[in-house]
Formats: sequence, structure tokens, C-alpha cells
Amino acid sequence: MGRIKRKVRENVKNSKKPFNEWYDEHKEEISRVVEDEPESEESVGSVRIKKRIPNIIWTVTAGVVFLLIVIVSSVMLFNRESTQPQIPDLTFGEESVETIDLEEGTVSELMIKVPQLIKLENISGTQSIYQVDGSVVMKLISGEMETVNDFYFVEVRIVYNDNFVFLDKWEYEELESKTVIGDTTIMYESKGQDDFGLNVFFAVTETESGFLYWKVSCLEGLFEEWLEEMFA
Amino acid sequence: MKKFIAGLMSFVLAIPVFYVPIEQEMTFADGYNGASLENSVFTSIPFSRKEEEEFLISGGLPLYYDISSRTNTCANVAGAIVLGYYDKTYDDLIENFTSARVIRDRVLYAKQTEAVEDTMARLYTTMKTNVTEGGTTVANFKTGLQTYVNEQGKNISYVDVISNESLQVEEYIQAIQNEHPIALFVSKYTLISTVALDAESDVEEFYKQRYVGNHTVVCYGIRTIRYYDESGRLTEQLDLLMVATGYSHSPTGYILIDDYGTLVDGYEINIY
Repeated sequence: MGRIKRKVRENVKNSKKPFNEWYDEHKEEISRVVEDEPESEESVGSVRIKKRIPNIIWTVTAGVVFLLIVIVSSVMLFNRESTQPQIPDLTFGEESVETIDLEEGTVSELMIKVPQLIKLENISGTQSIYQVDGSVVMKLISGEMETVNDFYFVEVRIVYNDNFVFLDKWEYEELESKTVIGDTTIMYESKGQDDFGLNVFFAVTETESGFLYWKVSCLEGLFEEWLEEMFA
Repeated sequence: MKKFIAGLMSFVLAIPVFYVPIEQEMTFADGYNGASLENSVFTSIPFSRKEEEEFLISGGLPLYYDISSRTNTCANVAGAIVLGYYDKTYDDLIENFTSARVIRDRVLYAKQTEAVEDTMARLYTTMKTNVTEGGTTVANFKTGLQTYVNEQGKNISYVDVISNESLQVEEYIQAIQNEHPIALFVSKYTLISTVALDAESDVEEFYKQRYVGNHTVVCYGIRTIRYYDESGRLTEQLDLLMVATGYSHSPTGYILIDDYGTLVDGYEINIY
């Protein structure tokens, strides 16, 4: 039994070609089946072997490296921005304020501070409260004045917080005209006609406690008549 | 290693299968975190010549605003503005209130009274404001306003003027020429003061106020301004919707379209 076994082994060994010889003969066939697999050669001792590295591993590795680069870059950028001082934008708009009616007593107090208001009729007032901290940012008094020649709708704003941005805020800057009536200096400018056909004027006056922003809308455009009536 | 990578990728790919965000209907808010001023941008347009074209409802709209403690009420205010507009024709639309006021032969709008504020409160209920968090959906605005109008014995119709977030200009102008106000729903928007664009020569300078969030306004016109340089070339065009904003300090304004934000939806409203 042992002799037969040895003989069979010897026959098998003699019929089998060396691996390298077999590979070279079938190389083309093999490459058709395993088309895109790059090969690398390694030497392990005295034996040279061909090792195939699947593409999927290259792809995943490249993806992981790319992701790491993105993460590291983002962290570095974030840290740089965090260390640079940021100038906060403190402005806020009308959606951030609650508007409530002024009580009669408060309106009366304002009429003492702004005596011109006594000359108006149908007076009402509102105040706007900043929702973040409950502070009053603006009070608005509105009224009407009728003369022989014209009819005036008057609004005056008392500003307590300059960060409150209402839509016409910038239109009060650099008003073109100036006049002095009594002790009051008035900067003013015509703003044309509004969509209701009224003639609109913006004016700014100064009191002890700050600036007042006036908006006057009138039927006939006789603004200078209004100035004399209000401030003389 | 292969098994780990395969498992990780399977997990990542499975996330959208199991986590499907529920699409919520958009609500229109403003007021206390519904919308907020993002920034004010100074803009300068040099020009040699400018041309303007404008369509607007004669006499404009009443200018109401909310003084209650309710939040996210811009849709209610917009509805009240529409009702106030039609109240000058149908006096019982807002009870105990006459919206028109005649001064020296000029028909103007009266200031709001408690009657208008009660109407806003009623619309808050019929429009189901804040039932869906954050304000009023477009659908509830329409049904809520209809409920109110029907309660007053009148009818209402809506015609779409926005399609695929784009203004249908012809339909919009037709609505204005019909003297029908338009309820407009915007997400992010640019507001410009109505007295800002008054330069006669050299350069137009104004501020764009950019808001984030959702808001409802009522339109009463459209203004187009084209700016040309010395050679006659068109260098800039501003397309502006004239709106009643619902704000107490800035009751009218221009919404600048194709600048910032989205025109989500809009309806010509006729009450009859």
C-alpha cells in the first residue's frame, strides 16, 4: 500500500507543471476574467507571488481619506472663525416688537414733553416693546390738524433704541432743507406723493431728551403753513 | 475588514429608507420669531436716465396692524386689510365700523378701531392660526376668510396669481386693474421704503431690508423702474410689488421680487 501511494504521488507530481509555467500559459485567459484587478508582485522569500487588490478597497480608502480631509479642514476653519472677533448685528425689525396702545395718561405726559402735540386733534399713541428684553424701543403719536387751506395727518416718533429698524428709518438721514422757528431747528424734506395721493414730508427736530421724527401727510402740500402752525 | 466596511455602508444607505421626514404644510407667521430682519443692505444704482411704469388700486388699502398679544398673526391682519378694503363698498363687512372716511371730498381710510381688532380676533379662530405651529397655512387663510365673509352674508372668490413660485404678471396686473387686492405669501423677502426710490438724476441710493421667515402681505400695485446708462443700455430693473405690510411703523412698502426669497403663493381676492 505504501509503495502504491508513493508511486501515485510521484506520477501526480511529474504530471503537474510548475505554477509559473502554468500561469504564463493561461495569463491571457485569466486576465479576461479578472479584468480590472491591478496586480502587484511581492516577494515572499524566494517565491514571487502575484497579489490582486480589489478596486472596491481602493474606492473606499479614497473616500475615507477625502472625508477626513473635509472634516479636518472644516474643524480648522471653524476654529479660525471662532478666534476672530465677531461684530454682532444688534438691529431688529418690526416683527420683533409688540405694539400696544398708549394709555391716556402716558399720552398726556408726552404732550408735556412735546408741547406742539397740543395743537393736534384725534390724538392717539402706540408704543413698541422689544420682545427679547421687554424694553420700549419707540413711541408713536398720531393726530390731525385742519387749517383753512389744508388738512394734515401727523405722526411723530420718539426713538429709545436706535437698533430698531423701521422701513423709513434711513429716509430721515440727510434731509435737504433747514429752518428755525422760535427755539426749534427743523430739518425737513418733501418725499413726493404717496400711493393715496397725499403729499408727504419728513422732518426731524431735537428736544432735550433726543430727536423727534415727524411724518406729515397733507392734501394740498402746504407744509410750510404746517411748520408755522406747529412751531410758532 | 470587508465585512465591517460593507456593514457601515449598508447602515448609511439604510438611513433614508427608515427616516422619512414628514412634509409639514408651510405656515405664515411673522411676529415674535416667525420672521426676522436679517440685514439692511445699502444699494447704489448709477444712471443717466430712468423709466417707470406703475399700476395700482386707486386710493390704496387700509393700513391695519395687530396690537393684541396673539402671535404669528400676519395672516389675520392681511385678512382684516382685505375686509377693510371691501367694507367701503359693503359697510356691514366689519361690524360697527365704517372703513371709508371723506375729508374735503377725498375718500380715505379711517384709522382702525376696536371693531377691526375684534375682526382680527375672529379671523384668528376661523383661520386656525397656530393650530399648526407657527401661524396660518395658506389653505386655512382661504377657508378662514371665506367663513368670515359667508357669516357676513357675502361671497368670496380667489384667483391664483403665483405659479411655481413665479409671479404671473399679466394676471397680477389684471387683478389690480379689476381693483381687487392680492393676498401674497412670501418666504424670505426684501422690503424697500416707498419713499426711497425718488432720485431724479445721477444715482439711486436706498436700503434693502432683508427678512428671513414667512409673512403674509396684501398687494395693491406694481411698479417697475428701469435704469439706463449714458449709451442707452439698460443696466438695472427693479420690479416692485406695492404692499400693505401689516406693520404698525411701516404700514406700506415695496417687496422687491427676484432679489431674495420666494413668492410662495398669491391670490386675487374678490368679495361680492
